[in-house]
This record gives sequence, C-alpha cells and structure tokens, in this order.
Amino acid sequence: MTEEVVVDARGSFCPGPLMETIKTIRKVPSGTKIVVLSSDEGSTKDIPKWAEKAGHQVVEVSKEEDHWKIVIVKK
Amino acid sequence: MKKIVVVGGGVGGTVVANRLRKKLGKKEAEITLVDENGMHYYLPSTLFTFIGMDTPNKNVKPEEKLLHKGINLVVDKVSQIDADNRKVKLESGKELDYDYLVISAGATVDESLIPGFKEGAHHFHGYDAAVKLYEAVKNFKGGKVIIGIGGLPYRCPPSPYEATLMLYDYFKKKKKIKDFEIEFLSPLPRLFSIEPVSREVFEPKFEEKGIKWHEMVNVESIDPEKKMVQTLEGEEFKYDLLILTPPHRGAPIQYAQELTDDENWVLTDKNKLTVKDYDDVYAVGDITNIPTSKAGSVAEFEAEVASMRIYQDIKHGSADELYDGKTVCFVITDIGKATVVKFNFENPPGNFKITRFNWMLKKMYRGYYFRIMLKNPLGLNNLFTRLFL
Repeated sequence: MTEEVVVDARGSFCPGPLMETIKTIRKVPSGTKIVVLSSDEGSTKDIPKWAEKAGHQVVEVSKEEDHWKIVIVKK
Repeated sequence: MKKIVVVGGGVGGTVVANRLRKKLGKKEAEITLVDENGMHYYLPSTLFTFIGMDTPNKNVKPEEKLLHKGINLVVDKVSQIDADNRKVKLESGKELDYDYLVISAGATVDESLIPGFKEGAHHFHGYDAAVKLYEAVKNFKGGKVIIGIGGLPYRCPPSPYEATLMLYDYFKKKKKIKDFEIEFLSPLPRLFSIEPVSREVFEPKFEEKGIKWHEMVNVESIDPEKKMVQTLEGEEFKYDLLILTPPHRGAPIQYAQELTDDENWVLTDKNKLTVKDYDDVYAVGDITNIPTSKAGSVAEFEAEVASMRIYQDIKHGSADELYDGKTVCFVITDIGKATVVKFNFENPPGNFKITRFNWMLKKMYRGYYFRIMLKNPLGLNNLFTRLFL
C-alpha cells in the first residue's frame, strides 16, 4: 500500500507551501504520496512546476472548500 | 520586584533589556541578560567585509558597553529553558528564576547539513566566514562564480542578492576582471521571495549586469574535488568559486517543553510575540518562527513591542501592544547605490528608489546603531526610520 503524508500548509504563503513540500519530499521514501493542502492559490502553479522539474508525479490539483489540494507521488 | 531574564545579547535582547531598564525602576524589576560570549556583532557589515570594504573589528563591541547601568550581564551558555517552572539553566550549573523571559538567542548556521559544504563552499554569514571569503575573492582571477541559497529560512533575506550585485561590481570595476560570469541558484519559484522586490529591483539589476539565475534549485550536496553543486532536482552546476548561504537553524538551546519546531525555531505568536501558551515567555528576532524576514530591523521592532508588553503587564496587569510585521531594510543594488524596502503583514513593499543617498544611509547606520538605537538615550524609538525613511 502506498504510504501517504499530509503537508498542511494552510495559512502559509509563497514560498512556505512549496518549501514545506520539499522538506517532506526529502524525508519520505520513494513512492510516497504527498498530499499538500494550501490556502495560497500560487501553490497550484509552483508545486506542480517544481515536482515536474524534479521528476515527481503530480496526480491531482483540486480546489477544496477554502483551500487547494495538490497530490504528488515521490519518484 | 519582578525578575526579567533575557536570553541572547544581539539586537533583540539588547533592545528589550535597555528599553525595560529605562521604563522600570530598580525596585520594580531586576533585569538579567545572558549572552554566550559577551560580545555584540553588527552583522550587516559582513556584506562589505567579504569584498574588503570593511573589517570585523569596527563591528564587534563588548555587550556590557551597550547596556544601560542596572542590567546584570551574565556571560554563560543557556543549557535549558524550563517554562513550566520559570527557570533558565546555564552551563555553569547556575539557575535563573524569572517572572518574564525573553528568548532572543538568534539563528545559527549549520554547514554540516550540506555534504561537501565545508570543503567546497564559502559564505559571508558571520565575520570569520566573510574574512575567509575575502581571501578567495581577492585571489579570484576569472571563471564561473555560483552564488546561491542552501536552505530557507536564513538571516537577512536580501543579502545573497546584494552580495551577488556587489561582487559583480567588485570584479568588473575594481579588479577589472574580463573573463568571469556569475550564476545564481534560488530555491524559490522566482528570483526573490517578495514578489515586488524580485520583479522591480533584483530581476532588472541581475539582467543589467548579465547575471543568470536558476529558479527552484535546492542544493543537495557539493563535490569539492569536481567543483560541482548537485541539486535535489538532479541538476549539476560547475563552479570555480562557490558562495552559498548555509542552512540556518534556531539557536541550539534545549527546552524542557515543546516550544520549537523541528528546526529549533521558537513557536511565537506573530502579533503578541508570546511563546506558545506561555504569557510570561516572549521571543524576538531571528529565533522566532514568525513568517517574516530574519532581519535586524524586525528584531528591533519586535523588541520594542515585547518590552512594552512586559512593561504594560507589570504596571497594569494586561498588555495590548501588538507587532504588525513592520520591516525596514536597506537593499544594496550596486557598490554605491541602494534602495529601501519597507513592509508589514498587511502592506507589501513598493516605490523603490535606487539612490546614492540610500547607500550613504546604509553606511551611516552602524554609527546610529551603536551610539543611539541600542541605548535610545533620547527615548525616541525608530528615530532613524522617522528621520530618513
């Protein structure tokens, strides 16, 4: 089963959510699903852009009630 | 009589202790400041030191000369803070009880977090490092310079950018080196974190000087033999001279309770400046986890708020002074020119004027800092800001 880690970066603004995501990616094993919650709309561009650059898979970018959800799988 | 203990004698700690000593009589409060070496460092001048425009000796003074009479200076290391029992334990074995505690022990750099850093990279975040870097810069004959940021957050966010622009001028105009190029590595999705400063100040200046930058680059390791930077994203950057801002962490103090995050930044209310659930513990300056710049001006303004709140609490039993995120920085764009960046939690910076006058103000600031700002003999907070900015 894929391990899942939630990065709750709500309330933090750029570059906070991206940096929290990177910090988490550094710690978790390959194949881990990272669910990032962010209230900063900029995260919906920055985080997928970085993930693609670093070769991780972006599996979901969606709007929840008052925040965005970005799901990445570490390569 | 209330006992006030201040941990750390940098900008924040010195301002808190001095403001409280002026506000409260000796029968009202006993104020003790603990500092690990008893010396006070004015850090902005490391930017001038690494290109030989300044020397450390003008920027270091004994802390006791900067404190008002009636403040006990204890030179010792703090081994543990126990907020439940209101105790500060020192390495000498001594214990200090308090009614109010202010944690202002600052940030520390940790080069060991990037493999190869110590052997392969230079930096200027401290005088020893800046002097060592000057030797490398002075002997540089040409080639590729990589400058970058090795971890967030770090002290003085504009400083790697200022260093880049100053180094270009130093090589081009002073050393007249013809064959060199500078590239900048930013972990951010743009050049600089604060968008208007990035777009209106740094990006045009980098373009003007032909400095290329790479975004979203997170340094993973350095190979000092191959002179290569390796990144988390799988890129490699070859260098002849590498200047990298090392990862920073909160000062290495042990806490009996969970008062910090996993990088030892103290969990601080961004407006009240109190620590977690403790109304009698404050944190100011670089050591907090407040999402603003780790800068001297922030430490100064936070220290004024924290000292006022402690004063209000002692005098009236409650405190209403709040920190609004006020930050003021001189930002160097060229050797000889600078702009001013001012903002708070609500209002982003703007209206950047790049002038020789701002450069002169930045150079003058040290004199004001040591002679007036820290001790504030006239009782006028933020005098420099009010007069010039």
